[in-house]
Amino acid sequence: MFTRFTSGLKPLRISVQAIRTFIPTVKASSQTPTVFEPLPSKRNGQSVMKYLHEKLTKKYDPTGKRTALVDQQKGLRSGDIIKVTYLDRTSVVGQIIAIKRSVRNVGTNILLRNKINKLGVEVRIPLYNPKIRNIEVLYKPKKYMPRRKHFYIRNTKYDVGDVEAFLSREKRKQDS
Amino acid sequence: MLSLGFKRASVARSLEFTRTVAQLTSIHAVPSVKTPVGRVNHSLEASNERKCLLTRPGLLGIKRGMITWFTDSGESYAATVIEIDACEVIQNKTLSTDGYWSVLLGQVDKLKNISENNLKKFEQAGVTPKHHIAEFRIRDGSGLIPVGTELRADYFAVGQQVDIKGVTKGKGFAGPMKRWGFAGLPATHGVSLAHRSHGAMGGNQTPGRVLPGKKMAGRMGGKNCTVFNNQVLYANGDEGILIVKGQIPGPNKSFVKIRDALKLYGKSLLRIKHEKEGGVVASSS
Repeated sequence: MFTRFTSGLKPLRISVQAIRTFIPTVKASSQTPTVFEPLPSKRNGQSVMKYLHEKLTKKYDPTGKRTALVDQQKGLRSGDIIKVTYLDRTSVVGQIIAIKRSVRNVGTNILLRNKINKLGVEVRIPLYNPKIRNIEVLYKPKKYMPRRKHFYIRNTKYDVGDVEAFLSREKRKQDS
Repeated sequence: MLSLGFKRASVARSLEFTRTVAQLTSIHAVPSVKTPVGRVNHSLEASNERKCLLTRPGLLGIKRGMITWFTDSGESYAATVIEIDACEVIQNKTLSTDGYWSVLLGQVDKLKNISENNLKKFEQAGVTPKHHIAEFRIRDGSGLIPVGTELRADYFAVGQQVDIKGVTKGKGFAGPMKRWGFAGLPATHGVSLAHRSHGAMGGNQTPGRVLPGKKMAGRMGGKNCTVFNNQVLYANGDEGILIVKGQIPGPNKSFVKIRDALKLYGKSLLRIKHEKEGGVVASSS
C-alpha cells in the first residue's frame, strides 16, 4: 500500500514568491487601517469540485467514450449485455441490472449480473477504473423490462440466465 | 530546644527552687539548609513539557465534498476534497510573551464587515482580513513561520498521515438509540409507546439518584471531532486542493483544521528529554 512517513516530514520551503507583495486597496490615513488586497484566485475562480471533476474525467476518460456510455438518453440501459475487458486481458460478461451515476465524480459504476453454474453472480464495475481496457456492448434487447434499476428480477422468472449461453443461442438464431 | 532539669537536693532540701540546667537554643543559631523548591505539576511550564506537540503548525481548509479516488493499481477509495484557500500566518506566539509557542493562521479572505479593532490586527500582520482564524500550538520556536507567509496545500506530502478536526453535523435533539447506539425496547410483549426509549437508569434506593454522565436523549452533533491518521492522496499548492482518504467531520463548506498526525509525529518535550537520557519511555503511539 503506502509507505508511512514516520521518520521525516516534508520540510517546509518558504520561497521568496511565497511571501507576497502587498498593494493597499484603501489609502492609509490616520484613522482607517489599511486593508490589503486578497491573493490572486486559484483555478481562475472555478469551484474546486467542478475543477477536480473536469481534471479527473480528462485523466480517466480522455476521449469521452466512457461518459457517453452512461448517457441518460443514448447510453447503456438496464437489460443490455456488456463485456468488460481489463488491461490484463481478463474479461467479465453480464447483463446490466443497474447503473449508478455519480454527480461531479468519477464514481459512476455499472452492476452486472450473470449466472455461473446456475448461481447468481453480480459484479460492480467502476466505469472510470484505469485498469479497464474496453467496454463492449454485446446485446441490446428489443423490449426492455420496466424501471431503471432491475433489482427486482433477482431470483424470479425474469432473472438473467447464463449470459454466454444466451448470446450463443441468439447468434445461432441470426445465422440460421 | 528546651531542656529543663532539676538538681535534686540529696542531703538537705532547700526550700529555694534553683534552676541549674536550662537552655533555650535560638532558632537563628541552628544551621539551616535551603531545600530546592518542589516541582509544581499544575504549572504552565510543566504542562508545556508534558504536552504532546508537533514541530510545525498545520493548515486551515474548507471541506468541499467527497469523491471516488483511483490509485494507479486500480483500487478505489472514498476520499474527501479539502480546499486550502488563502491560508496565511497572522501571528506567532512565543514562550516569552505568551507562555507557549504557537502560530495563528487565518483563511478565506473577507473584506466586508470586520471591526476596526480586528482590521488593525490584520494590518499589522500585512495580510487580507480573514474569515476564519485558528491557532496551532507547536513544540518550540523552530517551527515558527514568518508572519504573512501563505501556506499552500503541498505543505503536506502525498502519502503522509494527517489529523483533521472539524465540527460534526448537528443532529438536534436525538433519542438514546441514535445518540448512544442503545438497542431500544422490544417491539411487542406489552411495550407501548416506548420502543425507542432507554431502559433502566440505575439503582433504586442505592444510589437513589441518576449518576452524572448517564447516557440519555439530548442534543447530538455540533461538537468538535478529530479524525486521526487520514492518508493524504493528493496535494497541489497551485490548485489549492488537498485530498485525504476517508471521511472527515462536518458538512460541506465547513472549516476544518488539518495537522500532521499527532500519534505518529507528535512528541512531548519530556519524552524527548527522556530519550536523550536513554531512559525507557512508554510509547505514545
